Amino acid sequence: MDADRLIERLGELPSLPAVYHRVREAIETPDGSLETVAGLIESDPSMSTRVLRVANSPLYGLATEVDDIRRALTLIGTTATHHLVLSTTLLTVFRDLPLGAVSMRSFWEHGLACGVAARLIARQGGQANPEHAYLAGLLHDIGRLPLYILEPLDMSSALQAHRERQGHLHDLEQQYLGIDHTELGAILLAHWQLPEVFRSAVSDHHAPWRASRSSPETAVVHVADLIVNSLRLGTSGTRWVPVLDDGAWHLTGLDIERLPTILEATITATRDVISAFMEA
Amino acid sequence: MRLAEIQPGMRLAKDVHDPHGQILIRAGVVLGERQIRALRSWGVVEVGIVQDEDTADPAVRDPKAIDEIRRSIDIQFSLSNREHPMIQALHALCLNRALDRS
Amino acid sequence: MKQIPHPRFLCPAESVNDLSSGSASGIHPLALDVLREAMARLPACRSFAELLAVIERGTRLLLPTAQMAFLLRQPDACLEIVHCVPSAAQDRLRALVDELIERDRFGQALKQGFAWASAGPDRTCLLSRISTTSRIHGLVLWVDPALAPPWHQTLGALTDLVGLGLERLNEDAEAVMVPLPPSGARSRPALDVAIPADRLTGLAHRAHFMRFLQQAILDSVPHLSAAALLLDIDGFHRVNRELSYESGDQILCELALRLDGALRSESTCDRVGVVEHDICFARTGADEFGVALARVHHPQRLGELAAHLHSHIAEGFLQQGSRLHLSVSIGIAAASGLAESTSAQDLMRNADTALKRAEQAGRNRYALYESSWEAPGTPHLRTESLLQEALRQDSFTLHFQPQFALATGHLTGAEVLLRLTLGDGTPLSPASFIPVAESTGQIIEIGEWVLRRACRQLRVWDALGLARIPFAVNVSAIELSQADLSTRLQFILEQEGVGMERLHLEITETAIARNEALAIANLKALRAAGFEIWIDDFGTGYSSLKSIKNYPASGLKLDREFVKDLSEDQAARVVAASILDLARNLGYPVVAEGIENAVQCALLRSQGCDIGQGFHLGHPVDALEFQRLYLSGGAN
Repeated sequence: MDADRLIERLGELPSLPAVYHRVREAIETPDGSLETVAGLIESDPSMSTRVLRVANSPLYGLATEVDDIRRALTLIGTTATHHLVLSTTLLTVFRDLPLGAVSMRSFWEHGLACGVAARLIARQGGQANPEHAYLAGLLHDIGRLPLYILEPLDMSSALQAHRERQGHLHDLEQQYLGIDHTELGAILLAHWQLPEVFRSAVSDHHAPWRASRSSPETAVVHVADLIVNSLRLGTSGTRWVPVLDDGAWHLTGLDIERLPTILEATITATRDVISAFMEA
Repeated sequence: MRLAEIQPGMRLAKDVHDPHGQILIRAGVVLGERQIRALRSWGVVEVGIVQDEDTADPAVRDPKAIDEIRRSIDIQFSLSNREHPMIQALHALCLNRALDRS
Repeated sequence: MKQIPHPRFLCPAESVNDLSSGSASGIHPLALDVLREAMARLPACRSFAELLAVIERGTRLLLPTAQMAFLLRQPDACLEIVHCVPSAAQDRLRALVDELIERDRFGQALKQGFAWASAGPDRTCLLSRISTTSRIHGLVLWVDPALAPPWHQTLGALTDLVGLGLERLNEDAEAVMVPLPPSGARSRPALDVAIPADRLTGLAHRAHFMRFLQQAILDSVPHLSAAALLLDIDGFHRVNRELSYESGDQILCELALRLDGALRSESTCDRVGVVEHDICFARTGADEFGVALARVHHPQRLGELAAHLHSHIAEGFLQQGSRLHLSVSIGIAAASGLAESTSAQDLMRNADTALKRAEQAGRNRYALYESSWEAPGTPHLRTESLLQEALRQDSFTLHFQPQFALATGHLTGAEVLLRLTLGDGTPLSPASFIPVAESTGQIIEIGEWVLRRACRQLRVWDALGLARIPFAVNVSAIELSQADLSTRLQFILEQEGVGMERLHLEITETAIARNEALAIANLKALRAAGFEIWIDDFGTGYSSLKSIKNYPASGLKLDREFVKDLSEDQAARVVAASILDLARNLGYPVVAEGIENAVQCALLRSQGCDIGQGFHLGHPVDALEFQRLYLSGGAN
């Protein structure tokens, strides 16, 4: 498969909706306010319902149920608002597309679980920004969307080979398609103009040692992905537990003793977060 | 309890260590044929066993099934680096989750 | 405290005595060369396999006939063989390993670094520990007649080199090898990745699925159920027809992978309370998938599981640039361990029954099998799935009952009768299953099966040069209400190469009365095509006698009700006589059914009935018996 052609075809994927871009603009302009953002969100009733439901999920740990967009945004802060809007719109756009050998539901379950785990690890380890870790975790396998949608036949073959334990799925993607999801994902995020921290987390989450200087967020996503795969919280196609990079593990600042707590918290929080995102 | 008296289905009360002092099998693990064999191959003579467990529960998996669950988790981890302590801990946690659920 | 010498410089007294003979003194002249070469190769080793190759090569030079096994510590502390030299010796080495563990040689080697043992009359073995300063990784086992104590220095040094190499590789992924699968009978079909798999989807086959399910049922206890889910893609043949077989295959493949992923996920397992190990997902038919579950904690949530699987299919599949929605019907059955004797077949039959119910309820539904469906009075669904099974397995049979001309006693034909015997040998009466088949529409498929079988039988007897008798075959009301009946039957007979005149179609009065206009149009078309039409069960229906003359019939069959009382009841005799009279006036020949004794036979003959059939004249028998009794050498 021609990797360049695949990159060119990224344009065939749905683009992010205008409301996301406007929200982002409002957040990024120096005098922009959460007030403007709230107004934008409220202009789309189905979006405001979703945003409120997610804001009230365990992701943000709000003390009481909030039913007002303005108040919710103020409570969770600007960065989280941006990520909340991005993840809600992403899931809305991609949730109902046919993916192929993996269901969209499994795919997003895996992404959300990884986001949840990454946030927990970042909090516990104290090295990475939890809010960045969450979004990076959610997006880490985003490169598989174009792979499944644009090259379904090769992806089915890769998945079958992976099931027979012929190798890690990202290696098989290279083999069958000439490019893997980490590379394609980083390109997609560049298209969407997301900051470098997410692009490098996506591109290096399977090989943190490859990066000259891994960010703590990349390390956290690497470990979160491994945990979520071992617990089988959803799946983006990966069936076997990947290889842990020792350097990344140390970079997270996490202690092995904390693992049981992280696992339990990930499982319970993921369940609620998924229902917040997935219910119609 | 002496290893010769250990029956499959018994639960370890204390961690068992190898000659280098590393943990071989953690406390709380239900011993299957496979673990008993492992203990024997490491030359372990005596282990602590949790005493007052209701072993008559028919819902308790037979040791062979426990071994099979363990094996399926081994397969799940087979492409990972299992010598890393974090992976070992994760493996053990996944196994315990599976055994608890069953 | 006493100084303990390094084990490499110890001569284990217990094993030395009988071993230190012959060439065992001093270091082998090649030893230094071997070690030097090993050290040179070490830095290039990138995987554990390459490290093992270094030991293997060194051993080859020193002990050309040695057998070796490499054992590696697994995460659960077991030492598993990961490599054998030669690989053919795997079983023997495995047995030896078991024996050495029993004799505590492993324990000794793991504690001291090495251990000697004898392995049979003139074979010695040496165990050497592979370890680094921080961790014990495993053991190497050598077996060779020439092994003697001084060898452990050289071989031990080789093993130490591997330990060093491992330390350097440290957390490299490839450093750890997956254990060799035992080559003997110890393989576990439920888990082995190498179980025979369906070529297209990579899933297990039906046979494996049934074995898994059977084991699941055996393992089930009152609060841990076994369950089977059958998933059938509604109208999948249309995908193959309207897109292409390649598309159909691709969809099956994606569906299989997608559901496999969904089934293994935490949210799925947690829902019904199973672990991954308790799930078997298989392709059980062309477009049918099966999920077998063992030790289900929450059987009451199996419906939720089905709905959950639906949620993974809901988005559809991308095919040739557009979205294709598949609807999948799911039938579920569970066995709780309380049921006295459930077999995998029973559970599958129940799941199949539930599947049929789901399909009848509409597309994309699921249904849970309920034992109340089996309650007396509602054996319907059970029978229905039995029939489906019988069609699938071709387990129907045909019997033939002879018909004779009452005047001459000559064989005139045979009525074809459908028989079904269950797996356990009990026959199922047509009176109980035909109404079910009619209500489900299965009668169409069954009717065609009967017709084709009958045609083939005719051709066999024709080929043997036996009497060319016609067959009487029953046609149901359902078939009669199909507009294309005549075309379809002609098509079948043409395909089978049998003339229409050889089949007499028996149709009941009641069947005609159900939709008289269509029925008569059908009968006319059938007559025109060359079939004979006989009105079955004549006299019991409600159609007026005078409408009979409008039927394009070839003859009448006098119902057994009138024949039964013929010998005792004067009134019955009068009715029979008047029916025969009417038939004669209309120009119809008459076949009397159910003749059970000589008196009935004589009476009917005296009243001018043309043909007779019944136990008195001949029981229904299978084809071979029929041939022997009535067709060979002009018997009767």
